[in-house]
Amino acid sequence: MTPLSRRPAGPTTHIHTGPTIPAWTLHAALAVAIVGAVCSAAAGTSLETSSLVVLVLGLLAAVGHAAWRPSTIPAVAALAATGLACIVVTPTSEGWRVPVIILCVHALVRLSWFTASSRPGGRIEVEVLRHEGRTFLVLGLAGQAVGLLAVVLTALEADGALGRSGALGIAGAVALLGLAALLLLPRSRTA
Amino acid sequence: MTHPTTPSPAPPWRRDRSVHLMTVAGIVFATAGLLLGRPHLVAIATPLLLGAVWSTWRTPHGTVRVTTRSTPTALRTDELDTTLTLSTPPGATIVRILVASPGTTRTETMVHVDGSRDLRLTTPSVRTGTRELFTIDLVAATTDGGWHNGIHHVRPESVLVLPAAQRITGTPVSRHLRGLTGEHRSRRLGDGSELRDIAPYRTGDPLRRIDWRVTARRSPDAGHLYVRRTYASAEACVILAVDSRDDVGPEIATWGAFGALRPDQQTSLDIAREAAATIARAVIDAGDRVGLEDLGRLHTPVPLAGGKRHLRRIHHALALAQPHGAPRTRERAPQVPHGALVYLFSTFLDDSAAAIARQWHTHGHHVIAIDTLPVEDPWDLTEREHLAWRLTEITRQDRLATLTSRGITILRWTDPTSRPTLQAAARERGPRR
Repeated sequence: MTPLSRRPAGPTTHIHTGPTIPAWTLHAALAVAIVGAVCSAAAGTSLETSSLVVLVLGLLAAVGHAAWRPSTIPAVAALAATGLACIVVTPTSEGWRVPVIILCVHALVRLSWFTASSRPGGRIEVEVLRHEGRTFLVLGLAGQAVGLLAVVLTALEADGALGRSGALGIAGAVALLGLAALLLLPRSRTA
Repeated sequence: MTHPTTPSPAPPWRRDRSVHLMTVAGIVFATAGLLLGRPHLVAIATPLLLGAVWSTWRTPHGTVRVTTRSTPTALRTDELDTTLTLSTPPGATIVRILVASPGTTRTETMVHVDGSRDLRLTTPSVRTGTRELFTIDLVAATTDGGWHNGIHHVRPESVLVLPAAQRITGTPVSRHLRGLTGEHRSRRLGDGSELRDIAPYRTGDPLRRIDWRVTARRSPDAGHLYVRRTYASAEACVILAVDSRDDVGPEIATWGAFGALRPDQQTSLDIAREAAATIARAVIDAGDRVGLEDLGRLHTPVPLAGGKRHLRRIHHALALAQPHGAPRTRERAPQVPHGALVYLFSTFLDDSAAAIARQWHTHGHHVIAIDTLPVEDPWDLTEREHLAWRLTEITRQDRLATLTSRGITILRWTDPTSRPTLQAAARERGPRR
């Protein structure tokens, strides 16, 4: 009998499922997606490095707070920051930025659902992520295709061959993609 | 035992906040791109808008059904379990489950359910008696997280955990034997298997007892008949007196209902139940009769009897023994049958059980006191509380020493030597015959 001994950790209830991963890995992935989206959107701006560091640290703090009390606040803040940076920055010939921003923005929106739905101490079955991954991949590839089109149209705009109708062309392409998806994909609505 | 737990009416499906986020962000990006003539902004909006359209398109309909299955009684093992069955409508493949059971840290898991799925839930537990199982909260969502329905709350079921009896070979029994049948030899003459002597035949002796060989040797002319006289068979009676007025765990800081007891640590009542079940099994295996007395109740739960069915009855009564409110002081000892040996299971943290043991001893019963206090763990005690515990322990030891001085045998069940000591006492102390 040791006086003032430490209490051993309490036992844990167990749910027998398939392979799982800890939910904190998705919180970490959300942080990476946020930093990736903001940094790639802000690349080439006249924003000072110190301001960018403060912005990124603020977003990471929001992610940390969301880990403690799950919410979509980090995602909203990151989307606002990314959008502002995209509007402020004049499009350049750096073609790498658009695919990265598309990937990061899409990832942070999807990851924010997982992080808002589960605490870092929880676990997520791999099968859930596998099913989610398929939808993510399809939508992401569609986004990348449109992004490639955007890069091409931007280059044409820069040459003066397209005028200002590039964005409208993209919008038309998106509408066509959406229409095709709605026609091809089966509905799950039941009577 | 199956418990359907689907609430009625079923909670409706609601659009998730993430869909609103995707829609608003997509519209903002697309609008900005169109107004500013930035195609890449519209490209960023593409997966967001497509995701929002996809979620809206796949609105789930139907209800989520939740049922749990568990057995009403279980024998004590290292864990308790139940089966959770989930049935979800098409499209709703994600279920967030939050499971908690008393004394454990809760577990949260997000699982994939394709139509229907059985999940096994387990929690470590070495406790006995009436135990609460799992409190379950769950929320179903669609694959893309666009829709979710309300929280399904599953109330915890109760299971009666029976004590696991260990096998020991022989326990001390009373020297005063009763009855006309049993495994023990009485001092009386009667029907039995052990020969006492050969005696001349007297009127009333059964003819089947005549020993013709002895008669032929001792009385060749058959003038006198001789009979074989045997000792009568008899049985011993054992009363198990369980002090269920209080239930304390190993952690002193939790005594007095301060803090939750851990399910992976046995309390004093768990130890008492298992000790009593072990002794009851040994007594019944030896062909004797056993009864149960609960010091926390005013009537005898189980009267004297023998047999396997009676042993199961005692196990159930032991599992149902539990404290009701603050420990009460019992002034008069419960009446026990004449000549019965009494096993008293108690922590002896107050004078009541010790006083009852002394009364039984004074009335001529042999009493064996089983100390059921778990090995104490003084974590998180302040200096004053530690001092208070030391004073309580000194008083308790004085109480036990007084009982020992009166001839009452005391064994601490958590001591590994207690069972060999009990068996040794059984070998030394046979029935009085």
